[in-house]
Amino acid sequence: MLVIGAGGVGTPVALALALSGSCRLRIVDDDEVELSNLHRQILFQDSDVGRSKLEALTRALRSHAPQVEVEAIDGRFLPETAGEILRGVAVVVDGSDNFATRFLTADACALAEVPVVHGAALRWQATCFVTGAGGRRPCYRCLFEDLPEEPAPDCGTAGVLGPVCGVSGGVAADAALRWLAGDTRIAGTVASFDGHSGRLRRTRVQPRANCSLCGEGATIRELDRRRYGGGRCDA
Amino acid sequence: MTPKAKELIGDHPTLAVTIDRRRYARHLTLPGVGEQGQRRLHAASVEIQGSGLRGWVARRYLEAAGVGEVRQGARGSEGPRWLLEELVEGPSREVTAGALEALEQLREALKAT
Ligand SMILES: [Zn+2]
Repeated sequence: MLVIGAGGVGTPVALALALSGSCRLRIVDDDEVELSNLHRQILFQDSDVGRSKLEALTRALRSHAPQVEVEAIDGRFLPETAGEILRGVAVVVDGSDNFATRFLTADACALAEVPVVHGAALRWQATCFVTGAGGRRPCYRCLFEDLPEEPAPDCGTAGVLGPVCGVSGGVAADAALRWLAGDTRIAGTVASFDGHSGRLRRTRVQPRANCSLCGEGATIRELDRRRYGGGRCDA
Repeated sequence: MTPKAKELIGDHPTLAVTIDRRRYARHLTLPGVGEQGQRRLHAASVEIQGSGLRGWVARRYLEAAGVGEVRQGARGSEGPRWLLEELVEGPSREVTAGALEALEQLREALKAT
């Protein structure tokens, strides 16, 4: 199992997966813990500020689940490194904090036919999209098409509530473990959680016929770095 | 305290605390929390009902959000129905349940005057 991003969503995902005891964990991240992370990234403490997230997360995971096998990859998931990072991975959980990485993850995993669970949290909303059969139809691009041209709201400017990240992470970890166990009934669905009402709704996503990644005339056949030029949220 | 501050927050001592703007930056820009909401969280005393992993997650989210006091209560409800229907039993469900419990307490604390 691969977790991309050790942030607000990635940390509860990693905690749930580690405690499930059913998989080895590979985690990729290149950030340091910042003070503004601590209100939502509950596995980190004040003494972790300035340390690498991977180091802090690995230590926290081992204290909760001493038997867990963690392979920490200090770096970013990039077009150049994607193939190597995905090697031998059964399911990917995308907990990244920016659209460029999300689309890259979607493309790289669809091409490698690895299923992805995309977990996200912004303001009071959490979403969790589970890709379709074989990691292909429907894919992330069936839902979101392409990187937004305007700067998208990210957790830095728009804010986010910690437990909303926790719901996103818990629901994403559940989906990933179900994939791993061979239960694909939730493949191709998106779960949306509203933190004001506390309700979760799951809807089925229809594959788009002209999707550039999984449609009939799909144009994305390889990872071209020019496609992923979006900005990122640093905290 | 300046007369202006006193006019704004009254005599309530816990409302006078300075907000750590860097730590709570993501709350200060969040509609429904903001500066006033953060002060309410600092002044709040809440009770959690879950135990084990669920209780730990709930407590950590509440402490991380800056809630003034988190008390341990008796074991309570299992959570909303969707939680039991949508998620398989195990740590993923427990983490989600803890987050939901924390969220409910934050909502209550933000409402309080
Ligand atoms: Zn598609």
